[in-house]
Parts: sequence; C-alpha cells; structure tokens
Amino acid sequence: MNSDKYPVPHPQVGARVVDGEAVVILADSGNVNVFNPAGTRIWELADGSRSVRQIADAIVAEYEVTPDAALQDVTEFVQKLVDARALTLQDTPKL
Amino acid sequence: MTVSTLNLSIADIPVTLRLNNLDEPMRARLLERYAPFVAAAPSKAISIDVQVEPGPEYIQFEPAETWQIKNTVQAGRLEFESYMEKGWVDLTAGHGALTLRPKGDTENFLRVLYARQCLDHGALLLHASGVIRQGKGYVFFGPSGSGKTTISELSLDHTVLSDDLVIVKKCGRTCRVYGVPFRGDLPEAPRTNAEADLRGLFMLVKADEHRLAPVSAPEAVARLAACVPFVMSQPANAGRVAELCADMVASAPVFALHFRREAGFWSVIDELG
Repeated sequence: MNSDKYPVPHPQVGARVVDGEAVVILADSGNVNVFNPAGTRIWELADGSRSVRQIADAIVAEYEVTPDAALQDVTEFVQKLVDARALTLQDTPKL
Repeated sequence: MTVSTLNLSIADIPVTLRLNNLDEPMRARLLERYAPFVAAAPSKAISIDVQVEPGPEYIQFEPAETWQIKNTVQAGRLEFESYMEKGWVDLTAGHGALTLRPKGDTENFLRVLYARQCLDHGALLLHASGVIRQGKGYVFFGPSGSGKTTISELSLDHTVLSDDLVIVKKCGRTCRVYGVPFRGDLPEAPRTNAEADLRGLFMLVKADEHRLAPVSAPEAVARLAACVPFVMSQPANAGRVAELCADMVASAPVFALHFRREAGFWSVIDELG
C-alpha cells in the first residue's frame, strides 16, 4: 500500500467509540466489529486528514513503538479495513 | 367490499392501514390480530393503502432458501418486496401502498416499516424476546437459536411481550421496552400491548447452569447492533443504530445470561435487585 494515501471511513460504515473501543458496523454485510484500543486510535486518526504515514507518526508519538514497526502495523491494519470496505483510500487530504 | 381503517400505535409510533378491497376473512383476521394495538384516534401517522391484487408471486419461492424480504430506502422512499407482498412508503410525505397477493400478509411489511420508523423515534426494533415481571421490563437477545423462544416459554407466568421482536425506546435517561404484534415460533405467545421500564438487557448463552456474566460496553453495543433487523443494510442507518445501541447500553445494565432450560434463571436475575 502507498503510505502517502489518506484513509477515510467508507460511506457504508456506521461507527461509535464506546469506552475507548470503536464499534464499527458494516452496512453491506451487517457485520459488527469491535477494535482494541490501538485499533480504535488508528480508526480515529483515519478521518481523511492524515496519510497512512502521518497516522504511523502519531502512533509513534503516543505508544512505545519504533517508526518502522508503527508504519508496518498501521499499514497492515489499514489494508485489512480497506479490504473489508470499512475504509477507503484518497489521494488528497480531506479538508 | 368494506373499507376499514386500522389506526395502529406500537410503542407510541402510529401507522394507519386503509384496508381497501380485502375480503371479509382477511379483513377480520387483521382486525383481530392487531386489535390490542389499535389507537383510539389517529395522530400524525404514516398512512398505507392496502389492497389485494391477484397475480404471480413477486419473488419466486425456492424451498430451503432463507425467507426473502427485500427493502431499500432511497431519497426518502422505502421499497419493500417479498413473495406475496410488494409496497412502498414515501417517508417524507407520510403515505404509501402495499399490494398483497391473495395469500399475502401485512406482517413483514409492518416489521420493516416499524424497524425504519423506530430510528426516527429514538427506538430500535430488536430481534429479542421481552418479558415484564413484577412491573419491570427484561429483554433477552441473541441470534436465532440462542434461546429467545425458550426464555418466553419459561416465562408464561409473567407478561411475555414477544418471543421474537420487541421495541426498546430511549426515554430521557432510561429506556422502556414495548410489546409488538409480531410473533416468532411460540404460538401461545400473546400479542401483548404492554410496556415497562427496562431493567436489563440479557445476551443469551445456553449452558448447564444459571449465571450472569459481565459484558463490556463495546461488546454489548456490538452484540445488540447485530440483533437489529431490516435497517442495517442502509449505510445511513448503521451510524444511527450504533448511536442508539450505545445510548441503551449506557442506560440499562447488560449481562450475558447463561441458562439451562428451566425457569430458575429468574433467580439469578432477581439477585440484581
């Protein structure tokens, strides 16, 4: 995945953060997922204003993780959510 | 043919059915079925013209397939189609039409319409059983086969609201549970028009013993959302469902109820006080 892309929630998604964990509903399938706190933080940051790389930078600042590991983890997680149609990738930031 | 008007009020959500050309047995059956939910006077209700029209099935029935109920909402218009029924509702204008084949029924159309209308009234139609016991409302939810009908069978000494669907509505800081005229697999379950303050939401788990286990708020929201039928396929609704489930979980205790097939499960619920 190009880490300069800007992830944003897919239009089919309904989500709500409850007690620090995101509950994400996929309308297409009716599947409901609960993200752990780290996944929830990535979900919150993936609002279209930050690239994958910028999200990884934010994770490095908030968690004890190396930049390389953060970029790999964020990239893998974002890719999973793109595959599940929970996120889409944009070429430009959402203003 | 007699034209009858049926002013329904389910969970204080009004819908008027105008029964246009139904034959007498069908008309009488609907009037009897929905009698407990007839409102004294119509209020600002969605009005549906119901008519019977002979013809082929709208969807060809295939044995062993999941029961097909198609519904979409686009530009404020609800479209509904099943084997013997086809209808639409202009949700903005507040009127619609339902055409039944001679063997058709209003039931599934009303389920879909109420599931949709609930969202606008701060409520959810839940795939759940509901019981009022000693004035308190209890909702038992879970996927098909989790025990909703069993719980209802074991609770017939109390007021069983439904073994299949109930409405839970946010009322200020609390929630209320309402009966609906929609029944599942329990033939003796009445169509009870009753309501009560919600005392608890219980996620059903079949087990060898009766016990309650805590459920985290995020898991409770997710499990509850998974029990909201008909509306989740609309992207705009998914967020609203998540919001309402979160509100309900915040205002009523949620537990996993591990239970075996006897009424002793009420004793562990009673320990909640």
